[in-house]
Amino acid sequence: MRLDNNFKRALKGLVINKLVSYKHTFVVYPLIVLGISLLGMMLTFILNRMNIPTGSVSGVLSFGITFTYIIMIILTISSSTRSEIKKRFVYPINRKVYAAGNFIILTICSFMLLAGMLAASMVEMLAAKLIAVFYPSTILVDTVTITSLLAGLWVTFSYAMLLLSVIYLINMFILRFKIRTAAILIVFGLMFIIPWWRSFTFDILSFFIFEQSVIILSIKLLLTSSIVYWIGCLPLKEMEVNI
Amino acid sequence: MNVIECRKLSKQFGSKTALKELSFTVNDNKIIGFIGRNGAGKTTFLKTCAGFLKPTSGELTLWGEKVFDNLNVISNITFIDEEIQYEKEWELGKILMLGSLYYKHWDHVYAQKLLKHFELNEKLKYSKLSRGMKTQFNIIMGLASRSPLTLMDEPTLGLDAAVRKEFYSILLKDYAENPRTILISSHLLSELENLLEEIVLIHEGSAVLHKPIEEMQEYGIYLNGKKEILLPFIEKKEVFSTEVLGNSVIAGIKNDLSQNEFSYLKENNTDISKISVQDICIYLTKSDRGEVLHEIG
Amino acid sequence: MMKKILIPIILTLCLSVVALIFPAGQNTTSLYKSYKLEIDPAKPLTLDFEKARIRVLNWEEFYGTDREYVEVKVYDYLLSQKSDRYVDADTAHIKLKNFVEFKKTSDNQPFVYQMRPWISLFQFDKYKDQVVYDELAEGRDVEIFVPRNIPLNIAAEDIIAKGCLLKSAKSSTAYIKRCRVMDNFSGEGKAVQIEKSSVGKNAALKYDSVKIEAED
Repeated sequence: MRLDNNFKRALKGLVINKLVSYKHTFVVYPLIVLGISLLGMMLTFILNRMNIPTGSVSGVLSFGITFTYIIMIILTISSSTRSEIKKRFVYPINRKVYAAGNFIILTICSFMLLAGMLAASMVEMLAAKLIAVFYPSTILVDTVTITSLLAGLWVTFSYAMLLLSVIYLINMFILRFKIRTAAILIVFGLMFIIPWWRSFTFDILSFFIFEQSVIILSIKLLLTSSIVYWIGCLPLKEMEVNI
Repeated sequence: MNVIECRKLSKQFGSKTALKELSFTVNDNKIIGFIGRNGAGKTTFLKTCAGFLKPTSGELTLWGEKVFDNLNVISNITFIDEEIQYEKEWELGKILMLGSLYYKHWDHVYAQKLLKHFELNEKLKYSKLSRGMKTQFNIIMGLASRSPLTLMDEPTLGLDAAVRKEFYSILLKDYAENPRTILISSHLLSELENLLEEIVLIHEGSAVLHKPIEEMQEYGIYLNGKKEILLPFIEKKEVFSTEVLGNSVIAGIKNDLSQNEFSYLKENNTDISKISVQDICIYLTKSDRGEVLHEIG
Repeated sequence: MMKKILIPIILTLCLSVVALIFPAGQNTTSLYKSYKLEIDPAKPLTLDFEKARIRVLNWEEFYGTDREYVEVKVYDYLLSQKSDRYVDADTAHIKLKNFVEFKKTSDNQPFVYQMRPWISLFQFDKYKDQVVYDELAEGRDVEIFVPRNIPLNIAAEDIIAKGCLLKSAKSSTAYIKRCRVMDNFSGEGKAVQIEKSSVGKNAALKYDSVKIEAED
């Protein structure tokens, strides 16, 4: 597919526009997660010194996933509202550019945010090692390897893309066909009382969650995400922009 | 070359007809006034032209291509109106940088010059602008984009008379240096008159007339004379208005008088004066409301 | 623009290198000593952990699929010396010696901190050991994974048993959940709480306090 200059310019404009809008996200949120984790670490350490038993502290990576997913879900929902669409179409873009640009932005944002969490986890590791230096009775359980860090980043990112695509799809259909989409969602929900529907849903989930190869799983997830996202863009096709 | 070609363009919102078989053509490198009363369909047309709305029926082509979702066309258009919202939390300077990314003809030096001219600080956030300042900034975006087709919907709303005047002179100067097609919808026709080259008058979604401004200025005349002379005279004319004051009558009619008719009126001491373009537009788009007001009066 | 992007990337890389090579005190990959023991699934299994607080789970309960061996995980830093273990092939009798000799827990109680990898790796068997939180849940010293349908004879200080088939239990306290308490079960101790479990005929519950909640 040859992209003409107008498409490239509009896409570049849209992507840079949104990335600059979200630039603080990549720094601020990992720092928040890091802050909370370090605080937890310190608190556990202090309580431990006081011989008060504590639960385990949620590390940056485990806590960061939840945080990233929540932030990205909010970003996805906010990027498919009427006012957001209005704001983007102030500039000379068409629906194809909007759809492609939005996908690129969700991809970059998810990846950057997770990479930010990964960077924050390095600070967490350093902090734990510093405690170990000054308090020799520290036992630092470190099962993390570089391979698992990178594989985890990739898998988490792939899952994020699927989750965000599904949310984008639902949101876009709600935006365009409110009542019909709500009715379909309710019907789908109610269908869970039917065993074959339950097992069908489980089969779909099994397609992903029982996969043992990181590469195949990420291919499955990213391909499905692209298809789901593309379906989510269908309501955009003939949608008017009421600026 | 035709920039805008509109053939039987209709736009329906539910049961409401906003544009009704609108047809006209606009050539390139002209400043055109898009005039009509409130609810005439001006904004709907401009938004359809900008590719935001899809025609219900008929055809709208820009440079020979359909406009809805067509990036080749949209890339050459800038639309500004008072509802337009740029990134609220962005500084003006940053929004101008965006302009250079999105618009292929963007003139950044000119944009900054205008920013300085309107005394807008580029560190100021868009959300902090007053209504008038927002309008000024929107104008900067509209002009600096230098798009071959610039659509301005009531571009001077919220501006005081002095700034409006400045805007007109800036627009004219920029247009002289960088000719392009500029379509302006406004209700301040008297102020715009010297700026415009053509007028498209629209009423209830249809084009009433489309003429060069010079023709519009000659389009109608007021006759002020004796009742017994003028009333029979205007019977066969297209009359815009009549006002009887005792033995005198002031009648506004279409200016299609022959030389003999002019001579006849002169001989009968009838004063002849031009009707302003604004009044012509008002007369041509007059609705029944006038009569209701008359009855109330 | 490029500079703005490159600076945080370079900073992150430097930080990562420092974090990874920075020498720490006691660095370990596990808090446990883990013992994987082959057993005969046809015979009842005796778990003898007299002085320890244990949790017994079936494989399926935790990992989703059943397995045919037993894994015993002992909180390593509580061990005063290396564990000795044996499996009696005849009776599938497991006993870990010496693990109950705990270190002092007053001044020297260690501060344990675990670096946790991405939770999404949980679905991969090869990463599962990295993802499982390395702490003994519910305050247990020993955690034992057993096949689902093997009858168990358990002796311990405290027992938490989930999703197991119980033949006998001897402990001060016992918390039994989602288990099948077999016919003629013999249980003794101070207190027992049974939840969402089926209790077979002639079960002898010789406890001072017995609390049974309805089965699912």
